[in-house]
Formats: sequence, C-alpha cells, structure tokens
Amino acid sequence: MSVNKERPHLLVIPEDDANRQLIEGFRNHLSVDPRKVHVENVAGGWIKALELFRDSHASLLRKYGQRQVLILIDFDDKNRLEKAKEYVPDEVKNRVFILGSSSDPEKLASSLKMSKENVGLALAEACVSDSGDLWQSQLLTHNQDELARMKESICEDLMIS
Amino acid sequence: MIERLYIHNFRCLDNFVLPVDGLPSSLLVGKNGSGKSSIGFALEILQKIGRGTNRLRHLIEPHEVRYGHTDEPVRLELEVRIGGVSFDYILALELPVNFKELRVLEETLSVDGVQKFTRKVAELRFPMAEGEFVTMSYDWHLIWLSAAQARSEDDPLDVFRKWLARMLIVRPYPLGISGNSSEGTLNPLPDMGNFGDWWTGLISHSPSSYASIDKALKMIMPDLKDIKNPVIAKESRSLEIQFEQDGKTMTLPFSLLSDGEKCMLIWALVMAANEAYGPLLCFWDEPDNYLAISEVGDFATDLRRAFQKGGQFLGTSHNAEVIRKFSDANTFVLFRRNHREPTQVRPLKEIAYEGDLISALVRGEIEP
Repeated sequence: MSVNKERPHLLVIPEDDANRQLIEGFRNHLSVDPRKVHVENVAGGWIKALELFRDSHASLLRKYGQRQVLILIDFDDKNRLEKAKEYVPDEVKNRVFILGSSSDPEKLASSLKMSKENVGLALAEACVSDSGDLWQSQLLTHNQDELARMKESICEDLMIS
Repeated sequence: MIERLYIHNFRCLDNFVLPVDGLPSSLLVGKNGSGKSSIGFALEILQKIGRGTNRLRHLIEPHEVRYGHTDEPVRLELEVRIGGVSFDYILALELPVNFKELRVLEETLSVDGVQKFTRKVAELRFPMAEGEFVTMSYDWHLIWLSAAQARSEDDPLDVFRKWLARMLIVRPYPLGISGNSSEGTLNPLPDMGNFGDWWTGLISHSPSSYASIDKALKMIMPDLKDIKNPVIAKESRSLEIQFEQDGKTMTLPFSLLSDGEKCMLIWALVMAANEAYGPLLCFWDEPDNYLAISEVGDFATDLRRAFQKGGQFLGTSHNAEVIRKFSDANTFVLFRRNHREPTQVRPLKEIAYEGDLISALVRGEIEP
C-alpha cells in the first residue's frame, strides 16, 4: 500500500539516479518503516528537482498536513542551498529539507568505499544510533543544520514503531 | 547463500556464471528471451533433486540442451555456504546419439573441500581413508544425490539436500491456486498449486509464523481480520480469509481472492518461511505480476528487507517500480543479440548509462 497520507510521512525527490539509490538504501534500513518514505522518480538535475517541488509538490504539502519533503541534490557550489531555498514557499519551509553530497553520490560512495545503497544504509544507521561520524565526513558535513532540523521534525516518525 | 552458480549448455545459458556471491538480494533485468527465467529453471532442477526426484527424464528434457549443442554436456555447478559449511555440487549430463533421455556424465559432492562422492557415468566412487575408495555401479539415468541414504539429520548430505529442497522457486499461477490442502509441506511448487499444503506445513512447523504473516498482510490489507484453515473433509482443509470493517465481518474462500491478493499471501509466506525454516534461497520470477502499481515497490522492498536478515533473494523484473527498488550494486543485466547466441550477464554498475535508469532501459540502451 502506498504511504498513509493521514500519518507523518516523507516524500523524497532525488535529483538523479545516484541520489535515488542512496535514499533506497536509507529506506532499506531495518529500523526505517519503508511505508512512511515515498521516493519520487528522479528529477533529472537539481534545478529540475526544485522546479518539480515548486510546481507539483508545494501545493500538495498544503493539502497533506502530515507530509514532509526531502529534496536530494548535489551541492556542487557553496551557494546552492541558499539558491535552492528560494524555491520553497515560506508557509511550508519548516516541512521541506534539502540535503546532499558536496560533490555527487558517486564520489561520496567511492570515498567511503561503499556502494551508493550502502551509503544510504549507513546514513540511516547514523541517524538511528545518533552517531554523527558519517554525516561529518568532508562531503556531507555541510548538511548539519538541515539534518538537525529534519531529525527534530520527522526522523523519529519514520522509524518502525 | 550461493557462492557460485555455473550453468553451461542449458537452454540459452552457456558458460554462464551468476555473480551474486555475498548479495542478500539481487535483481535480474533484460529483454524478453534474455535468459532470466532460464536461471530459475536451472535452479528448479537442483530443487527437484533435493526433493527426491532422481530420474533424469523428470528433471530435464532433451530439448533443454542448448540448441544445436547436443554434443556438449549440460553442466550445473553450485557452491553454497550453509551454516558456515561449504557445499560444492557438480552435475554434468550428456545426450549421446540416439538417446532419448540424458544420462549422468559426472556427479560430485564436496563438503568443505572434501569429496563425499564422485561419479563418472555409471561408476560411483566413495573416498575412504588413505586414498582408498569404494566403487559401485548406478543407473546412469538416475541422480545419486537424490537417492543416497543420509545417516542422520546432521549428515552434510541431508543438510545440503534439505537446503536444495527448501529453495523457493516462485512463478505463481494464481488461477490454479485453490487454497485446499490434504497434507502439510515446506516445499511449495513453483506455480504455488500446493499453496494450501504449504500454509498447513508452515503453520504446523512454526505456529508463530502466523503472527508474521498477519502483520505483513495487514500492512497491505488493513481490513484483514483472520485466516482460517478449517477441516472440510477427512484429511482435507481449505483456507478462508476473514475481513472486518466497522465491526462487520465477511469471510471469503481463498479461491475468491483476486490474483494479486493471492500473490500477497504468497509474499507473506515467503518472508515467514525464510524466518521460520531459513535461511532460504528464493528465486521469484517477476514478483510484480498481478499487483497494483501502488503495491509493487513496497512489495519488492519488503522482500529485500526480509532477506537482509538471512537467506538470499533473486528476482527478475521488467517493472520500473521494482527496478527502482534495487541499485547498481545488486542489479544484473542479461542480454543476447539473437536466439542462437548465449546469454551474457553484467552487473549494472559496470554499464555506463546516461540519466535515469528506467528511461535508459526503455530506450534499450542498457546492454553489456
């Protein structure tokens, strides 16, 4: 059954196939309830991911109060997060999170010597065990503020009860 | 877990190695006729051997020898690790001129590198101490592994045979599943025609499996209340499914469930069986068949998660939702240019493609 829209759930928009594999790994962690995480088709680029959010999902966020959105993009330049936030309307910005590797998931996976899926699994483990080591690696450390916000807002709801 | 599966000269598989060692779950993709299902048929031969079928004509037909290659042997080689012990089984079959049934050319079982028996055509050899061996003759149309007498349940021969027998090869034909049972079994047929027997066998073997099945099914059928398996005649039972909504209940015989709902019950039993009497190898040919698009992705994810804890899942699919639930690291592409060529296999991670995987598959750009 697709996610229950009346209960807290996370809708993920991956920029590309590499980010899709990463989030599927996260979703496969045995503590995560996969039925609370819905992964959209890959957007085909970071701008397209943000446009998809703005054009299709922002209004749905207003309709579905229990939905939160995670947009997975590559932060190829330092200002990308600020640029990305411009696509998020003020009234829903507390329910939208933007995370990603500072280069791309391929480089992240090869730097960690893991498959992209296993990086996702390890990131989920780091969330579950509240260990920040992996999230503090060079290619991910810029996510700290968004991650803290997301943890506080929804992470616990995504776990198997 | 499979450490090596080698298939040679069988259907479209020639000198074929399935590279799934160490992967708890994998997906085989490829065009129609690329050889995905043939892997399941090869595994089914081994499963039947484990279940006691030993006459070759009941295991493999002459036309399953690769087209135009009847002068070469068919080879099935399986290395598996079960409970820390390595089993290596080799079976080579040949079809001499004027034979209507294949015969055994070679058959060997080794356990942790030590040969338990070897065989050349009709001569069986059993290694004894200090390089000695005992020989005996055996019908060349019969498989020794199926017939050999195990000394106990701990005998490696029995452990390996049981593992083969309990392998789950799944390609359901829902219309043919009635839900009736006359005996219990832990060995369902690939088409699940004996699903009722499997239910009876699993619940008798491990009554706590009911809780796992119930929990899994309630995720996708929230109004499910109970599954009963009442006696309907002497030594005969029939599954009934009870639903409840707003305090009102209704009971349906299993046969009245939709094709997709029957597959959901199979899915729940596959996961419960792996937990109850696994670790198991499950080969499910197109698990997305009969399911609504909203169910397919989670169905695949749940199977992957169930086998993360032990056992091994191999699936095939053409369905975008299923394919998206796997990754480059555990997806394998099967390919052949025409019907005379054998199947090639390559991990998706070794194939460069642009953009979205599904779009690349639709464009036919994912080829080894």
